[in-house]
Amino acid sequence: MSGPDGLVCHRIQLFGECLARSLTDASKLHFATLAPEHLVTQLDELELETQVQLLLLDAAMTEGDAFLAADTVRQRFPVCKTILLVSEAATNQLLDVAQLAAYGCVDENIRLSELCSAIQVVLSGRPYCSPPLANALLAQLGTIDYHHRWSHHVTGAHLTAREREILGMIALEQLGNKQIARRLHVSLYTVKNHVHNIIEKLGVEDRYEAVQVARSQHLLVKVQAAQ
Amino acid sequence: MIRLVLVVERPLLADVLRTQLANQRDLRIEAQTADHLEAALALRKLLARRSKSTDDPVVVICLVATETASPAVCGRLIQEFPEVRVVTICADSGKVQSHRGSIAVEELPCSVDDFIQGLRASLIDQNSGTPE
Repeated sequence: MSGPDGLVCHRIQLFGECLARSLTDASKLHFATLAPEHLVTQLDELELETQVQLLLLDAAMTEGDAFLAADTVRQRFPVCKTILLVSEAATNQLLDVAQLAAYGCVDENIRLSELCSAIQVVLSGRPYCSPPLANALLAQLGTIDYHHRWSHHVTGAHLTAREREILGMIALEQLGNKQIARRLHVSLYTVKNHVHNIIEKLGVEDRYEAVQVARSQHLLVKVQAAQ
Repeated sequence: MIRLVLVVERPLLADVLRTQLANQRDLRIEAQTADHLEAALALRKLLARRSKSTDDPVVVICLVATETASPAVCGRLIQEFPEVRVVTICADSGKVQSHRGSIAVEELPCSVDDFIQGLRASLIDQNSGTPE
């Protein structure tokens, strides 16, 4: 049997398994579960040729777990699209949730059939957001003072340790993607993916602007300190 | 036959739990409710019906926000329906716990198949009077 087409990562194991099985029954895809605390080990156990297309990620997991899950799966399966499952408790943190860079966002008040429809939409390459979540996100965007609070949201606070490390190599050592890949013993594609994420998270146009922002926000000091 | 009442407020989680439990031949979902007050109404009807024909065990499976909320939710249900087993799934810890009376708590496995097996086993132990 080949590896799974989709992964479910939910903070409540019982529901995670029920979700994976129900989605497998309801679609032509095979879903498996990931427990957030053993994420890397479980990914290592998946066959390398596995083509994971979808990650259904519980956004109510602790922030670090959610970011780790999204980042790790993105690195391991670059074509994988993430759908966030947002519980009522997480709706007041949608701006943070949005930084997980997901293709889809659904709330736990939908029915299983609606989730299946959302998955089809996302797999066809289109984004999907449940209407109540889209409304809540717009309302939260409206409360942001553009020059202060939004700029806070796009600081490097949510860059992962690896992204900060790569940003430091670009800014302080002027390394190119290939050199970074050799230094970190990862593929060129992985480095490109990290750089893409850095640019998106900082809300800039390219790596040069990312370096400028990193300098202005003293992110590079943090990189040096970490080293 | 084990008769189940599901108390899960979030429709998606209720749907997937019901789907998996409904696959089992010895489990029957009698009611699906959003809170314990609705569950109490469903239990009254179910137990009134049940006493005439069968003594199948009745289990309430309830999603609670935190472990600390479990005693209050279980206490209310067990006070009115002492013959009913209440199983809670805690959203914050993911733990699955079985309650009899207001104090006794038994932890059940968190994976679907083991959870169902554990539920069956604990009910058999209860019915046969085997010490647990």
